[in-house]
Amino acid sequence: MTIATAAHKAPMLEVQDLTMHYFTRKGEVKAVDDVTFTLYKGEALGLVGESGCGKTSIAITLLRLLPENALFKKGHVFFYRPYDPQKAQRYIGFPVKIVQNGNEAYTGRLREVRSDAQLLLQARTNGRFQEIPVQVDPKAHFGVDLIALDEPRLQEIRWKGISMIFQAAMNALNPVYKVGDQIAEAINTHTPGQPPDQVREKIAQLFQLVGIDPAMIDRYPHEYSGGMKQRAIIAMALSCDPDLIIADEPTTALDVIVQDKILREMRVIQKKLNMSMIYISHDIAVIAEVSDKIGVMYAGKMVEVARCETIFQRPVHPYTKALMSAFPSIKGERRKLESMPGEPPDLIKPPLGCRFHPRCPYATEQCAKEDPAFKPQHEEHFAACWHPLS
Amino acid sequence: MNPTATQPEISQVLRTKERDALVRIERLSKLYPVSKGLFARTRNFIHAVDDLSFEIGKGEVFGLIGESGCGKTTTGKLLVKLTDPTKGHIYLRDQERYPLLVTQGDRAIGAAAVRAPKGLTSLNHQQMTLLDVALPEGSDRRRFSELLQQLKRQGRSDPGRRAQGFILSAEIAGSVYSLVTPEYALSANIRTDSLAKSLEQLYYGDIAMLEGARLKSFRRNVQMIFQDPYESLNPRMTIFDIVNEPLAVQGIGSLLEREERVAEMLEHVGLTPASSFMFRFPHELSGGQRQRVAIARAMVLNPSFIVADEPTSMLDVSIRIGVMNLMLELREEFQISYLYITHDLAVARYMCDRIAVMYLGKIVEMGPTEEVIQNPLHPYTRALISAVPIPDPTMRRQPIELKGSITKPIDTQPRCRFYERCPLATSHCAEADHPPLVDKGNGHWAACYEI
Amino acid sequence: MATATTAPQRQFDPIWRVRARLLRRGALESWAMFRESKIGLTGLAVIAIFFVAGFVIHPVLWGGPTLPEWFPIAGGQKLWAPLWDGKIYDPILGRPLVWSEEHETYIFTDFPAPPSLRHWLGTDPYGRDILSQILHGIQAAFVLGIFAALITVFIGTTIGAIAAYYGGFVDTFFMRLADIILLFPLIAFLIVLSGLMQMDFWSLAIVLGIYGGFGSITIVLKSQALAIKVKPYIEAARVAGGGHGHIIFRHIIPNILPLSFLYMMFTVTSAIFSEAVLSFFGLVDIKMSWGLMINITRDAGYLGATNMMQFWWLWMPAGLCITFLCAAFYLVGRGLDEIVNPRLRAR
Ligand SMILES: Nc1ncnc2c1ncn2[C@@H]1O[C@H](COP(=O)(O)OP(=O)(O)OP(=O)(O)O)[C@@H](O)[C@H]1O
Ligand SMILES: Nc1ncnc2c1ncn2[C@@H]1O[C@H](COP(=O)(O)OP(=O)(O)O)[C@@H](O)[C@H]1O
Ligand code: SF4
Ligand code: SF4
Ligand SMILES: [Mg+2]
Ligand SMILES: [Mg+2]
Repeated sequence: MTIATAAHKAPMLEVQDLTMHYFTRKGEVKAVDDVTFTLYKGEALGLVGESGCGKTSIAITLLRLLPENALFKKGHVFFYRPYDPQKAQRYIGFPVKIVQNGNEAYTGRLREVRSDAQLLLQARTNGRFQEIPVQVDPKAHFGVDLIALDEPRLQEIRWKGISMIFQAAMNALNPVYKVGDQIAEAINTHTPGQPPDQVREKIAQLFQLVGIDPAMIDRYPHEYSGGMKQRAIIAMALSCDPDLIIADEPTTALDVIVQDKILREMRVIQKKLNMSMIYISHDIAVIAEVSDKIGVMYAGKMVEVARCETIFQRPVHPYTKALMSAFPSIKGERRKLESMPGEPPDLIKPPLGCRFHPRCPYATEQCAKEDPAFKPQHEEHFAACWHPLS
Repeated sequence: MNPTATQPEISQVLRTKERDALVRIERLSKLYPVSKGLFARTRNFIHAVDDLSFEIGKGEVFGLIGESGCGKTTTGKLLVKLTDPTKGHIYLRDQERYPLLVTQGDRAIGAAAVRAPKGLTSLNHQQMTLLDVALPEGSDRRRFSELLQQLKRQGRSDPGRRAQGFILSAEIAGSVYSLVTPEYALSANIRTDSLAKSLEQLYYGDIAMLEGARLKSFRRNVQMIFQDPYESLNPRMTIFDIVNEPLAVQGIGSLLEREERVAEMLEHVGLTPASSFMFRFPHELSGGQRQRVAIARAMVLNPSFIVADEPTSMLDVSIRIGVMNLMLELREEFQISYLYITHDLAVARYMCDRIAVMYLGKIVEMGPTEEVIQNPLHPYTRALISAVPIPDPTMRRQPIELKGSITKPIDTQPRCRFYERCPLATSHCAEADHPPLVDKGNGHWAACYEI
Repeated sequence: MATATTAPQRQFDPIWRVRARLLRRGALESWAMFRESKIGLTGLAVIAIFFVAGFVIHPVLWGGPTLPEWFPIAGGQKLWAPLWDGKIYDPILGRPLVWSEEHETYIFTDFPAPPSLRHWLGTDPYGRDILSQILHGIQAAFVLGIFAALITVFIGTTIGAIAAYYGGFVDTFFMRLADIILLFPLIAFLIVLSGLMQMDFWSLAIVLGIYGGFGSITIVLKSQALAIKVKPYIEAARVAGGGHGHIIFRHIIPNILPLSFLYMMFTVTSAIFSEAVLSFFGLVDIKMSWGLMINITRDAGYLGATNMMQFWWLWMPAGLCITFLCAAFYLVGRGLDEIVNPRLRAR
């Protein structure tokens, strides 16, 4: 899959065929299987799916924050930034991808930065490794493969490039340190050498941005309400000016009124700073509120990715459609909802073929045998199904 | 007293009794002691539930909505008698409970509730258990009790008239006293001396009074489904043991019959075939299946009332609807009433006939679900409804901003609980007590001065 | 009750058979998990070796138990013929008479005699065979340790569950009792107690069991029971109409039993050790045990600083056996810990 379809947009994150399993006593949990999607700059992607379908696992795989028993299988995660010859020097020897002029893309191992406008890539063409010089446009997007990076280089990208708000992170604030100090520590470890006054000033600004009274900087976590803790966590995630934030269930533990406020604030901040976001939630209503684009996951697979309105109005995957109708709403007419038969499969032994086939009303013999490919259906609309709905 | 004037009253009681409330809650409060600081001397109280009154009809799903910590679970636990109220009463209509009139000649001198587990027709003086009594104003309670005791000892029944509702009679100190059903009194033109109102009360038992065997039989009638299906099933018991537990504790049936019943119940909640589930352990089931087991367990005693505390909030979307539909089907089939506790308005809209919105231990608004959701009156309900995300990007909402966030109801001020956050608050609200819940028409109640 | 008009037909196997099957499966699963713990297996292997030595090899060598005099057949005799010469291989009566050319008669050898072909581990200061004493001591250690541990676990589990469930005065009472017991050093307590009453094997086991039961194990099991007490399934049982006894015995105790079992292993260790110490001081009326062997050595003056290493066979085998068996039960406990505590469980 190429990202070339949207020429006018700057790519931010390109995930290709990402596959990661967990090793367990009972067998391998196939938590992330062949997941592919692209995120553009300034765009918010919502990942929805039921619990245990692999949403969190995708996030920790992209950031390579994997637990000990994780088995990374394959895939690429290109994280793009504007091309800068100085910065590109740092990635000599690592796989990179250059995207420019809309749909021109070069992938290969970076050998040399020859001049401001030329790079030497080592790539496989016609079955042989060859060195190919690439003329770089000054407006090119330079992507590094997070999967291939070494730990120090990756560490530079975590927080400063991509920061993550973990599920239930608000309970992870250390109760014995002041909240301000905990954020200052995050800033100091990732961008050392800033004078304390400046750091404090920055935290005050962040607090204002997320809607906490800056006077709360010197308070301890127990003096914060649940919503304020979550805001403080968001401020922490923003503290190193990341290009992309991954928010895993950012409001799941909160009450509706607080959830609503925080979601709206995050949306405003994202638009204001033109940041990219990945929201992860099991609640499609929450995702609908904040995302431009939605990725629907089922049993470790990405089954459909499309723009928000498309997912709601013209879903092509039967699971997406069933998911939509499984949510009661307070608006619209009150109707009886149909329950999906069966339940999500055990990811140790997922069904062969399409993983949704035991529950799918449209399943055919083919579905039970062959795994449908994840392929474009319409413009900016991808789905993995043998019999897409129209 | 003119006999004809009192007769319509009693017939009214008899007519409404079938569709009357199953549960009646009156001014219920529960306070939990808390200490503010580590060394605080003063005792403070959390008003977890504060002066709640509502009724739940037969076969009705009554929803209790609110943010976390507003007292929903506490109310649920009070209703199943897991904790006892600080103040107030919970009355439950009990199938084994019969209100009877005590007559002297053709005049009713009082009423008494008796317990008859096998129905009135098999009630004789030996097995008669007297529960509450109700008397016309000015009667001597002690004398009446003595009379009842004597009636209980000496009463003889006449099999011929029993079927019509004439239970017992005895001659005491020269006059004939008897115990008759209200229906009999009505047909025999007995003067009831405006006992009808008290009679209505006698259909209900105050669950605070229950002890021993009566508490046990109450447990048979009222069950609870808990929020977390992972924690509400004992991990060391098989599914059979879990569903069988209520039957075993209540001493119902032989082992073989109980096996039958458990299997039947499991199939009823969609765990088919039952034999493949009976001897598994909870950790071998998925969340939805576990919640189905919890439902089977709650249903196995054929209760008339179930408290369901967020039964679907821990479940996955794709199985949540299945569990909700199951509960609705069981309601249709067995005429069960539910108290359905949830924080999710959309779920409440799907499940409930009527809902009550709680804020810091108080009901702020109550009414038919659709009415409350489409036409909220209380400023808190409005804010709550405006904050619910809608799974449809084409629908825009206008969220209502509220100041601050929900606090704990510790030693509350004597004014509207919502005052600090209310966008409509006036000086009147600051001075007056918490507003009473008043009927605004259509069975829609709200507690606010400004509507 | 059942809607069917005919008498209920059995659809399943009888419950007891299903339960037996479940029990077997549970045991197999636990064993599969235990098997992965290296330390646990090591401990189990050591225990197995001791067990076979004490309960199989020793009786074979020495002959089974002596039958009582009144027994019609072979009364007063051993159950089977000992494999080893009973005159040599007997922990208490072994009198190693040897033929002396010089005196032309049987005499006692020099004792304590060092290991020889005749006495593989030498003899004690009275000339009795050390090997037979060691093997005989195994039986004493096992029976005492396990008996005491069973008492401890029974008391600890019941009291822990009851204290946690009722709380209030009951809880305070048992916790203070536990505090007092913990404040009292066990050995000193036992020494005082043995001054007050003559302690034999069984009374020692009972005292050790009771002491352990009201002591630390109560506190540990109580805190576990407290965690169980607040689980929603306890409330569910109450809503079903379950009384206090039902909740304690059907819900709380089954859930703390794995932990009790774990603590049982640790209690075995401490019981064996305590017996050894008491016997060492000669305070227990017991025929033969490892502690007593060391006591005999000391009483005969062979445990002094100067000649200790010279007469190593007198105390070292017994000392090592105490150490190994105690360690083995401890290791099994650690292995079980990994089953009981899912936190420690490897994925
Ligand atoms: N056993 C208790 N001791 C002290 N306070 C309690 C206790 N149980 C509940 N509370 C307090 O009473 C209030 C109401 O609690 P309750 O559990 O009924 O809320 P809830 O609406 O069910 O919340 P949630 O949605 O989080 O379950 C809260 O402030 C809570 O902290
Ligand atoms: N550390 C782990 N070890 C083993 N399995 C795991 C681990 N973390 C997650 N899983 C399994 O991987 C699947 C996906 O998990 P996760 O990504 O956390 O789901 P989600 O975020 O959608 O709830 C689930 O089946 C889960 O049980
Ligand atoms: S591939 Fe087949 S089984 Fe899978 S979702 Fe499409 S129609 Fe259903
Ligand atoms: S009574 Fe006053 S403070 Fe309370 S909700 Fe109504 S307007 Fe607001
Ligand atoms: Mg997750
Ligand atoms: Mg609750």
